[in-house]
Amino acid sequence: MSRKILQSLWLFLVLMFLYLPILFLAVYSFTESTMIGAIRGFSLKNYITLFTTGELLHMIGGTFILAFVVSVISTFLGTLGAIGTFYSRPHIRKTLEFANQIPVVNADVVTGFSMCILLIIFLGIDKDTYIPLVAGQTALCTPFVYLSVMPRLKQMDPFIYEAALDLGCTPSQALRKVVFRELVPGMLSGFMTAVTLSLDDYFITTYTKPAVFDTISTYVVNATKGAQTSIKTALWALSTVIFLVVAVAVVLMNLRPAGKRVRRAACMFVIFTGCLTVSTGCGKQEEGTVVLRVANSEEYIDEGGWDAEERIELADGTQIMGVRSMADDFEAWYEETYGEKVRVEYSTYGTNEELYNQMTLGNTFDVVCPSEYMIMKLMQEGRLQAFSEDFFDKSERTNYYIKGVSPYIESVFRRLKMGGEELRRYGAGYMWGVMGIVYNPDKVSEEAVSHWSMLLDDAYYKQITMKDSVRDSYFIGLGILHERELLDPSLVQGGGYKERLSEWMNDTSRQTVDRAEKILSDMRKNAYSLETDSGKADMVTGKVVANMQWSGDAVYSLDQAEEDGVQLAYAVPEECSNLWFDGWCMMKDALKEDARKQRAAQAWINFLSRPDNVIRNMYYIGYTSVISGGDSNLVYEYADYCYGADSGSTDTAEYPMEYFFGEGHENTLIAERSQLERQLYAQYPPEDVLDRSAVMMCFSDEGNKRISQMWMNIRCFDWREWLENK
Amino acid sequence: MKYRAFTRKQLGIPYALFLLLFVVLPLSVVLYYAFTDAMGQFTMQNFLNFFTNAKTVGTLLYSILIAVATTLACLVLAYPTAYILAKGVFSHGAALMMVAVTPMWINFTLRVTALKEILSVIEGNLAYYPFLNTVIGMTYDFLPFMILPLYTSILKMDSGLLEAAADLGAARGEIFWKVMLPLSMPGIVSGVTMVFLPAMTNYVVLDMMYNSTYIMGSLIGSYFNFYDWNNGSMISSILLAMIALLSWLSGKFGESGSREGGASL
Repeated sequence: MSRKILQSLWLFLVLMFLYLPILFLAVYSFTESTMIGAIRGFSLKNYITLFTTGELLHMIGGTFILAFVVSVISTFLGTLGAIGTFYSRPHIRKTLEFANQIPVVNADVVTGFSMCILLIIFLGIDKDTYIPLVAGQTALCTPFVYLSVMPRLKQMDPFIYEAALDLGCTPSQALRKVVFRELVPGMLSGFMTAVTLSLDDYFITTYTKPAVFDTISTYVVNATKGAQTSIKTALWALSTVIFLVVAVAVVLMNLRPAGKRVRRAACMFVIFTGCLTVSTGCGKQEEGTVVLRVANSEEYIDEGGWDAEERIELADGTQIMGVRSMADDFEAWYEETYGEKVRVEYSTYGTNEELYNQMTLGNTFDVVCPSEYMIMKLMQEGRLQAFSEDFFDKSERTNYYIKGVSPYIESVFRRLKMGGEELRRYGAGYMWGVMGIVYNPDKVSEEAVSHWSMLLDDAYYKQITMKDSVRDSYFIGLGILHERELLDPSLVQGGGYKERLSEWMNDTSRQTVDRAEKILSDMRKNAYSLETDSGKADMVTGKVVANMQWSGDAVYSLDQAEEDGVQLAYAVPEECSNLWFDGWCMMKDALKEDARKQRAAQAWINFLSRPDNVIRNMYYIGYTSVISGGDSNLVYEYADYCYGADSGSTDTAEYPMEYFFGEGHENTLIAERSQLERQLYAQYPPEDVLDRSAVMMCFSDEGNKRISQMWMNIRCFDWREWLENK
Repeated sequence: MKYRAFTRKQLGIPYALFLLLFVVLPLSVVLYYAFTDAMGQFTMQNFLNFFTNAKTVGTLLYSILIAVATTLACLVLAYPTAYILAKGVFSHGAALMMVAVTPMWINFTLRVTALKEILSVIEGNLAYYPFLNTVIGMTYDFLPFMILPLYTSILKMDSGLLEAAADLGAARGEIFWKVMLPLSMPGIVSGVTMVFLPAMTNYVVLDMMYNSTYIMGSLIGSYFNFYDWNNGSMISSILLAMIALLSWLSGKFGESGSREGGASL
């Protein structure tokens, strides 16, 4: 009896360990929470989103179809392989067994990486054909099928095959009707293993997938930018649904005989592949349609599908609402305006480096949206197509970009040059901001966050986060390095301040990098985490008290915390800040001087710069657009809508934004005083912040090598230091 | 007779070709890149880069530490579990086995996010225990891979042998160490090989558990991001060498060809 209790207890504990997180997800899936850790009220919203969002269903469908196709191929190959190997001569058998073992024990990263090197770099196969992805996952799954079929073969009566032949079967009949029958349980369990592995795979997929395709894994890991969480939280609902479906399936599987299952699986396969062919068939290009391939950061554009209560009503009566995705609206608008059909093929990436890698490894995009330094790098390599003259013609009605771009951003763009050419001829701004610190005013004083060195302060040991990005962190390291000079009033007031600032912040000399390495290495030890996404949630849930943050994500953190009744604030330290922007540019190798494509590409940029669309995007992703509106007042109205003080409010302050909206434009907002260090401050930083901001340029190859080596040194395990501490 | 045997052997040809093209060839290309520079010239520089830098060697050691700890944790948790499922008092061991494996159908990134939150309730500040958390996260992710082969190999074990040992007067400990453990060795070897290498390389779990120290997988990822295929290939090759070493060692412990347990779900 006690044995039973003991065994049950152990099993219970182990299953608890495995299932507690899933239960956690299930509970959260029924709430309005946007992040795990901050629980909110009951809601079925996630389940509605899950079953109604096309993009999401597409991704989930894609993940499962891929798993299914890969598993069918793997089961087929693996079973044949096992039979073949089993009857081969010993030395052949040994060799095959050895080769089969490689993917099983090999690290997925290495499998994915090697597949990418061979197929894409070496053989030049296009990722868009899905061949690398399917081959990669099949290489991972097949050995497991082989391994689960092999024992059945060994257990099988060696004479039944012979018996079948003697009874008049042809060899193929004997295989199909006798041998395969015997192997079915092994094949099935192999098939299930393959599905499991494929669904859970991240590494192979990320190295081999086409840019337009995302599985659940790659999506969750890459979706780090911006404020949209509905898809992420809908995935909690998905995991609950999957869990229930699997639980039911497990019960059914234990009740039904095997033969039916195989037939059913075969039917499902036909249906699935049918769907697949239909869906790819639909994708066939229509005659005369311009196809525009757009690549943007994950979650960095309005995807539509707003709830009715999300409708934005501005003071002048304008109503703005995202019903369909920006890409769909663009297609309709383009046809209406230019009388020509266009189809947007929209794909996403996680980081600038990933975009660059994708383009180096054979993906072609017409319009991409990298950060400033990547635009410069692409310019330097001569890969960008300059905008045509008429793109800059302010008299054209539809040239929303040049008509609406903020005078401040335009002046920054004019100053930025690469190889003697102005950046503005190659890149059109999209979103911009600075780097600062989100902090909890109850735990950290305003005085403390006015210096970057607070990130090194051991008073906040393991309570601050830094960015998991070399360039962003290096900038802060330089700020701390030059702290004393930067705070010296004589420098700030003296001539040439801006030049000095820019020079210091772009210094990648050996000596400077070494000194920054020490600072950043200390910072890492002081940090709670190095993140690109989780910092927002950790700030809101109170796990950290300060968080190095881009201004757009800061707005999101502050908003979310407010909903949970927590007041956070944002500050940009006194020393300096990193002025960054992401911009649209056109790729030469994709456009191939096709005038129609270039027109569509430029129209895309203009469409996104149309004031109402600017507001949709700003609302959806939380960052600040470079568009101030020109002769339209909408963007300013939107700032007023978000941050303007209520008419009854007493504690208000003037917030000048003349530098951004321009002299001739309405530009001074009456806001709640508290907004001066909160969302408004992050959304439109005051002019003095921009005075101490510098753009981080594209470094030389040598400089890049140095800082990437520095980053690795910081991140690697320093055993000598560890020994010293012991 | 000869003709028939020939047809059955032929069935293995597609798979053999597949293995050659998608397993052996990619690894050969990785080896090629590991020993060449950006210009395609032969060089040992990548090799030296890794082994002359105390930091990268440190990361190799750190990865091994994480892998050893994770593997041990998985083994300690999985062995009794597999035993209970295979030989225990429950009549529906096989169905329970499926229950132990189904979490894997839910994407690991989502599960680990939730696990992290649970841990942070327990521990307070997660960042104080990066090593421990990584081991917990990886154990959580890889545990089914350890339970499966152990379950298969314990299931196959002849209970009569254990009874015989008891009848012959062996103490409980002795039965375990001298009879059961050696008999389940193939399952252990298979489970260890399934857990060890992933634990050295799965940097997504590492990142999600807020461990900012690189492991071998992170190095591959970051070289890839810095467009440096050559050094990335070198790290991959070092891992391949470790696999070879591990297989050689496991060959000493478990019999070859007994690893099929590693797969059956």
